[in-house]
Amino acid sequence: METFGLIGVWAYLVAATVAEVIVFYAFPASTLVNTSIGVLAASKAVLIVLYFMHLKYEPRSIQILIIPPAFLVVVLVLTMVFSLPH
Amino acid sequence: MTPEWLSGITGGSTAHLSAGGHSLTDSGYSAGHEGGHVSSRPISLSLGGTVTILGLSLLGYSFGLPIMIIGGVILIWAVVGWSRDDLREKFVFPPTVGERWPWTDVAKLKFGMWIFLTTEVVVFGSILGSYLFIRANFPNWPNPAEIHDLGLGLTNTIVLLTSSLTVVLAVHSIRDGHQRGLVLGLTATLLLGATFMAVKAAEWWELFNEAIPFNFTAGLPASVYYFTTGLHGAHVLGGMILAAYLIRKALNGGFSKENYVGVENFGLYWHFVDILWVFIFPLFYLI
Repeated sequence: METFGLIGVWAYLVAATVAEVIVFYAFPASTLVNTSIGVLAASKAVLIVLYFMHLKYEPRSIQILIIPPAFLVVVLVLTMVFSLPH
Repeated sequence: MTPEWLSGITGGSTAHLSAGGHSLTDSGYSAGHEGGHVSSRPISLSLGGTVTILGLSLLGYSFGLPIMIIGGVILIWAVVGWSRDDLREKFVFPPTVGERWPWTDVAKLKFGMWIFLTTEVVVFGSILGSYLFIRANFPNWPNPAEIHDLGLGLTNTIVLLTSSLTVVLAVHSIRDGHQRGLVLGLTATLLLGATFMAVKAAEWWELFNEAIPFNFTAGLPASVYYFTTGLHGAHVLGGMILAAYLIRKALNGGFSKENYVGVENFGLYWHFVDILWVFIFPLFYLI
């Protein structure tokens, strides 16, 4: 990706961050608001991994390498969120 | 008696095995450079880190601090020694590309960095998962907006995102053979990292000195906040030390358009630290 494209990714990252703050101030706390903020954060992480870390252009073996830990973390987080105290 | 299949690779003093375009000789690995690829520094570094963390976990006992100091000394000795070896090109790395499927087209050093990052994903995933569990089950969790300064959090997020841009521009510069762009990019990254740490320090100072101090002993919300942001800050600090080292090496002409894997790996690490903050910011300041 050329410099102009990288700056475009950075602009999206900053805009999404500002959007997170606007959503936080504009709407009362709710599951929908929290989910929206989470989706914005996840979209930023995906762009950083794909374009800043160049994963999009890496060999398939490297791309597959990050699937197991990502899967584990998603399972772990979902388990934690929906767990009940003992 | 040497078997026939073995005689071809052991006969004579100059016998060698071909390995990925390089050769294994009687005197060890030779990759067309003067140095060898064997170094004890990674082992020293791991030992120092382990002993330091062991001491840290035993701080409640009288012998915890001495163990931590010993570990710290080993750690510093290993880091300084490794960087000196590297600057003097005392050792060189073995074949740059993996030799076995499915890694035949993967640079070994970059592969190693990705493996390291996958372990970090699990470490921080566990920490953030634990935070979410506590948060979901804690009856009176304080509103983040009442505790944390959202302006400072937002500033730090933009600072760190910008540092990711500068480091990727540094990688692209040296890939095109531009030494000046590399040094400028790394220097900007270092300065932005220092800005992040300064803002974070100001934030901690502010929280410590509130009318009702939000310090290390202020309960569970404070504990998880300081642990998570503290561990992240330690990663930023580690990245800043790496950046400073890379700047020095770059000024000595240590990188070129053919040899920049160190810069590339540093970039991967720095972006990962950035991604962590991308999740820490909303989890602790917004949600």
